[in-house]
Amino acid sequence: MKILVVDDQAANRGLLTYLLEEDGHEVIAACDGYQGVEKFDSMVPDLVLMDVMMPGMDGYETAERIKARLDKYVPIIFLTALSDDMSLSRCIESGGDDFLTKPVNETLLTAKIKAHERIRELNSELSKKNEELEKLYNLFKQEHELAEYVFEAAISGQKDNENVKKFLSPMGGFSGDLILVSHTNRNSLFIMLGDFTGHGLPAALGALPITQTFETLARQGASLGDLARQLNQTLYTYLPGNMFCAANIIELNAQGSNASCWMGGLPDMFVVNSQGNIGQVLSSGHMPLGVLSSKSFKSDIVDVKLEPGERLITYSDGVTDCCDVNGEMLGEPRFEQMFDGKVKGDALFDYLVDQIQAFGKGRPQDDDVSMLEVVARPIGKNTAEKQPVNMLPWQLSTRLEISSHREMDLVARLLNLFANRAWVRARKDKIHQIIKSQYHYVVDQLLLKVDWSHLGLVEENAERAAERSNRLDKLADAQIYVMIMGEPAQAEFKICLASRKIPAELDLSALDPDPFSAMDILKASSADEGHCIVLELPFY
Amino acid sequence: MSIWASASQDGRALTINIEGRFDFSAHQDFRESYEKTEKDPDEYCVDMKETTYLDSSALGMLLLLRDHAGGDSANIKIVNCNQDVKKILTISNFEQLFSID
Repeated sequence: MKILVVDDQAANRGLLTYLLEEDGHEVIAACDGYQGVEKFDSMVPDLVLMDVMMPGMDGYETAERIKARLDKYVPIIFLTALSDDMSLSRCIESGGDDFLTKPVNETLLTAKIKAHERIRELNSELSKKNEELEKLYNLFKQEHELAEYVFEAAISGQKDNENVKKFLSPMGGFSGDLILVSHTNRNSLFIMLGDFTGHGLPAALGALPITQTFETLARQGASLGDLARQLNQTLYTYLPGNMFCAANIIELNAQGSNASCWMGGLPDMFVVNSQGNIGQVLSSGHMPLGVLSSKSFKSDIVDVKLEPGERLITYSDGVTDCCDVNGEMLGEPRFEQMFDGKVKGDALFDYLVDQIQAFGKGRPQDDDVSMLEVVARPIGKNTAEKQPVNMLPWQLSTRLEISSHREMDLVARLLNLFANRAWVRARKDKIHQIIKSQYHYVVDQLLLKVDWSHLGLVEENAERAAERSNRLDKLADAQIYVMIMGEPAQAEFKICLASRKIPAELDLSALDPDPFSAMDILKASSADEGHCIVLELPFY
Repeated sequence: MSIWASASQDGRALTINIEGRFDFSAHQDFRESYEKTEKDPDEYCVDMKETTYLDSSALGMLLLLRDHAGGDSANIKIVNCNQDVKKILTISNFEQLFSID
């Protein structure tokens, strides 16, 4: 250690220097207070031994001056002939760390220096740790700010909307609850309320890929079922096994008269009537997003008809789990009481928010709290850019041989032949349903001439499929012609199916594109029977 | 909150008991309760008789247990749930992946 000795007596300086150098320390000597301060500045010692009684500036004042310019821990040990309590306590008050009485005992001196060396080491270790901590904290702050910026940017595309009211109160800086609203290219609205596992930054991480997927699919005009499926797949891929997102995803049609809902893991959703009372209660039918693989994921949708002025209310469990000052939870019954009809219409949502906030007042939030309202009224003009429709009429025709009819997913495969067109993709759920029912009608009624009613089977199921396959086996030859046409100019979509049992070469491309006359041709060329359906679906 | 696990004599079944609030603070204990077994049991039973509350992190932990127990081939029963706990499991449709009594 480098030790500064401040003493006006040359004999004392000589003795101390001798003793300290003996112990392997480096010694700097000063003959009075002024020189002591000066040498302290120039030599930067690790410890100071200070005489109290000195001419000019005494040891107390010198110690005060030295301590005032310190930015790290350097112990000062007073050497004093005075042993009364007052003098000793002044040593400590003036900034000293310890004292030794004169004449100096060698053993005691060595022991005290060792003890202070230990303290000094601990101190420098502590300040090193402090420095590291401060560095880390600054880094953490910077990274948090950056993350906040990215999240803001990702979600800032979310504009206010006259069909949707939102309330989002995060527990900390980042929200694990998420509300997304986006116009689709068919002028409907996609609306989502999501609640990720946990809170804070980890919970908010999933919001990035979700927001991207949500907005992209809305722009492309995906169906609601496909949106749910894609969001699930995104989270399944991005998040670890114990993280997921409970969500309600809603599509409000352009007229504001129908809400299609995919519900996974959030509390019940309410349909609130114009009197402000809960009419219908819709319960989650699916697991949260991100839990199931694509294979097990179900994209079934529930359709809800809405009268003008009715509204949907959906919320995260942070609302009902919110606690008052005594730690009592709001709970569902108390929340549902807010729909007693005292407040209704456009005032309802703000009233609910006020009530929830008033309940939880005076207690820090335990969870992110969010709620949203969807109002049944026609959707205002889409401010998002519309994709111009520039589509030529198209037609798909194919002939399915008997072997194809036994495949369970035939309709889905058929749909895949043309479902990559944005216009079809948007209506995929509906078109799939229609082709399936038409196809089964043709196969069952026209080709196989079976009537399921005597079997008591109304729904398509495995038993029915097995029976159909059985009957198809008995049939030597059977073909089904499928013709599907899109007529953007007429806003029409035509599905045309015909069956016949005797195979014949027939050039389908020579057929009149009008399915009705196509049917005639098929009939004329020995098709048994045909069936045709025309859907009017708006193009835009 | 406390969690303890007990294996059947032949070691083929493991019962995990959860007492109090089952939330993110239970993560470490819950994980250890099934990772420390000498041999992998064929069936798991999560006993919620003493469980008062579940949060979404707890649901996540149950999913991790399911992965540990073999994913789709896992045999996990969740038993003795009180009404509140059962409701939380039902909302998230956990009966699709677990047998819940």
